[in-house]
Amino acid sequence: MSSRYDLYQPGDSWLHRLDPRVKLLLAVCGSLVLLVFVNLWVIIAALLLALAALWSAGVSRERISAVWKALLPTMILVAVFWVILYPGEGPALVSFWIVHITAASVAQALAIALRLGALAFTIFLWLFTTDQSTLVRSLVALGLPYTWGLTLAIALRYLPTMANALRMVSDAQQARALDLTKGNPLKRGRAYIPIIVAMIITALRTAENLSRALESRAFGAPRQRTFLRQLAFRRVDLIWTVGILLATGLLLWARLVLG
Amino acid sequence: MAARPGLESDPLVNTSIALCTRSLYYRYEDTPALNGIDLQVADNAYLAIVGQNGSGKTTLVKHFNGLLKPDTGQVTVYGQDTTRASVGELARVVGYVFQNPDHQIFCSTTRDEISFGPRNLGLDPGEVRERTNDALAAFNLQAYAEIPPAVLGFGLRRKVSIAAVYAMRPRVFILDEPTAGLDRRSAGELLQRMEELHRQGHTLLLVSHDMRIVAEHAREMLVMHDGHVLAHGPTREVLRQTEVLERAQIRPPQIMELGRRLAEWGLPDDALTVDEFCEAYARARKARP
Amino acid sequence: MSVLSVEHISYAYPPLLPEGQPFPVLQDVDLSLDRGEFLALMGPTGGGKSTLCMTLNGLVPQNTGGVFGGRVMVLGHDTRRTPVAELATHVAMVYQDPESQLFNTTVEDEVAFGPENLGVDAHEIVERVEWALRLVQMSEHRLRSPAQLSGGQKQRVAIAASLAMLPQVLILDEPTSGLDPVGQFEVFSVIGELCRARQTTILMVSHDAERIAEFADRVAVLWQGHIARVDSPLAVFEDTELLEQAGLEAPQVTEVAAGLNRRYGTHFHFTRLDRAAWQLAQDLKATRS
Repeated sequence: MSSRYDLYQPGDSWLHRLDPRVKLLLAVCGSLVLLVFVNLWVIIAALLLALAALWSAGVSRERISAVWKALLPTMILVAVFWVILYPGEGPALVSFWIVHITAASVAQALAIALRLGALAFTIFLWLFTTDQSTLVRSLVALGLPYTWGLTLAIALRYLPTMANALRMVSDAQQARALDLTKGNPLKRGRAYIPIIVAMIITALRTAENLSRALESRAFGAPRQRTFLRQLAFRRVDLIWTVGILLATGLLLWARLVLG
Repeated sequence: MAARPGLESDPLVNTSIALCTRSLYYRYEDTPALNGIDLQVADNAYLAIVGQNGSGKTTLVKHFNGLLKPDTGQVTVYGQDTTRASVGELARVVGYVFQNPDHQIFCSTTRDEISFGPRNLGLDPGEVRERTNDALAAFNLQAYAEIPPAVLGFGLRRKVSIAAVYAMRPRVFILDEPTAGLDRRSAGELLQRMEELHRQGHTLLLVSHDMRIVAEHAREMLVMHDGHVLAHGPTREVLRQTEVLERAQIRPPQIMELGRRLAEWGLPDDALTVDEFCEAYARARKARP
Repeated sequence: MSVLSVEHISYAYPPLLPEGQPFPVLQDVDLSLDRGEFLALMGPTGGGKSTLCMTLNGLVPQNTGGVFGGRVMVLGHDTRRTPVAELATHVAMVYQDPESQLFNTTVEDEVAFGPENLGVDAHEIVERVEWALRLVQMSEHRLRSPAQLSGGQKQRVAIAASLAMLPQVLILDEPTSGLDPVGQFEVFSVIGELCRARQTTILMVSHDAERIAEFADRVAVLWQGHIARVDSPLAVFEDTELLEQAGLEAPQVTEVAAGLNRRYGTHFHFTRLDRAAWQLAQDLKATRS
């Protein structure tokens, strides 16, 4: 069961079982390739591949459409600006005022816009199929100092709690007739001060308690830290790693040399 | 029953029913929280609302100051439909003290903290000052008036949060677990203050898990479970309904269970206070076999 | 056999502002804890109970600073000198607020956290986690985030996380204040189990007189900075003068006994419901026949 603030969708597909470090590599390399290419067909291919992988991993349609919904406004904005600002060569399809729309610029705009989606889904291949705990563990295994990993884990763990506290503080202050709706933006901004300050004080209190709890569980003991969660790098993970690196290398070479 | 000055002239105070809900339904996203609540709370009632976390108690009381609006059904406060009034307007009549005082406290002096509510109500500075001093005196907080409330101990912070709502002079007080975490003396002082408010004509809603306090102080009791009202009536009568309490997973005060165990000797199962029980025991002792 | 001894300690928190005064909390506290015993600690809100608990695992004075006098010995270690992380292997503590003591992303990670810090072998960590979760009956929740758990569930995980360190002494600082009746029942069931197993020495801070009467071997009253009394639950709960002065509460049945003894010259002595029912029934049988 995951909360609204957890991207992870539980499952047991091939993608879920892939080592989280391999998935991170896939996300990074995939993003790299996408940033380097501007060809519409390449981008569409990458997008379809990512969506296919997510589908085969059992990621729900709601999640995928939620991502599309979140990205659509930005994608449309980017496409429109691109078309206006970068008229390509060739005959204008539409022409008025300073706007010259050619087939080339439309294709280009589409590519740039869809690239956003492709990037997002490539990264979600990693985030939708890796739970928070494993994610942090994998980062530490890759060399992130444990304290940083713990900080990240704590931040993730407290996200829903703080969001909840914010709601409660907002309710409590509104119950004292604090008006959050009247006045110009500046006035409304200032109305949030009682909420923000109470939140900060709550956060500080939590932090103080947290530090005591950490110490009571021997955090910082001068011993070599062990880990419950062991990551197993299997043969299939190795195959994927090699595959990803080769494919990325090839594609980058193709782009640089062949254009 | 002398009402505190300033209440009679309030335009919202015009019926003898303080709070009323009719077929109130509410859900949080997919989960139903209130399943058709029909409730009437009379003016000057002292009502305890009990039930597990998740039974709908907090969801219900949040409708009374307009923080939540019903999905279907109606909620009125002294005849005023809550969907037609803002939270700010309802805050004049219904004061809500939240369970965690740290969710409210943000000012650099206790005086500022307590005057925050009255200032939000748009009162003139003289009136604000008067109400603030009144609240400081009522809760014995004068010594802490210029100290940041955030550094005070928990019991004092609790008092500050209640004083802050008191200063708004609402007709209805909703208190969410006001005695949780307090020792007996501090809790007792608070409850005494609440008795005074009740005597002065205010309507009190007490959400509490402490059945002993409910038995000793509340006049009426409402039991909630799974978004439904299982029982509503005088405290004594409701506490006698063992099946209802079991369903709501609530344990009655110890002396009631004691009375039940000694029922064959004529001891009552509905003694609300230790004194009552002792007197009943004395009678049982003298009774003919 | 003493596992813990508090010897003439006094403590003052560092001042809040640089030019302020240290804030004294403990004056002259003496207390000792024997292996396997269950000691309950009562006292007024803000009276120093949590501070006293923190002297037992070294947080006071190592984490809090301030002015510390006297000595606390835990299994032969001086809490002023032995590092807190080292003391944590002997004394584990469950804090009052369920929310701010669980900080990992899953329950499993939380329980494993302590042993991981101690460098325990991975195989053993797995065993300890399984054992601890089973003890508190949270095994099915091992992959959930603490943010999704109820109050009672959170506190049980906190207990499991503490037990996984295999401490000799477990300190519970008001583990159920703020929990609903179901949550309280869940947590006290676990505490009861630990009590029965008699392997861990437990010190519990609580206001809940009835639960204390159920579990404690001895009760200590911390009042005005020192231990006013440490004795059997019966002796402490019958000391009405002390309870009155310190503003504390006895189990309701004990108040019944005191009331009956005072009024009718009877000689009842009980702190628990079973004994109360039995003694009163005997008395009624005797006087009626």
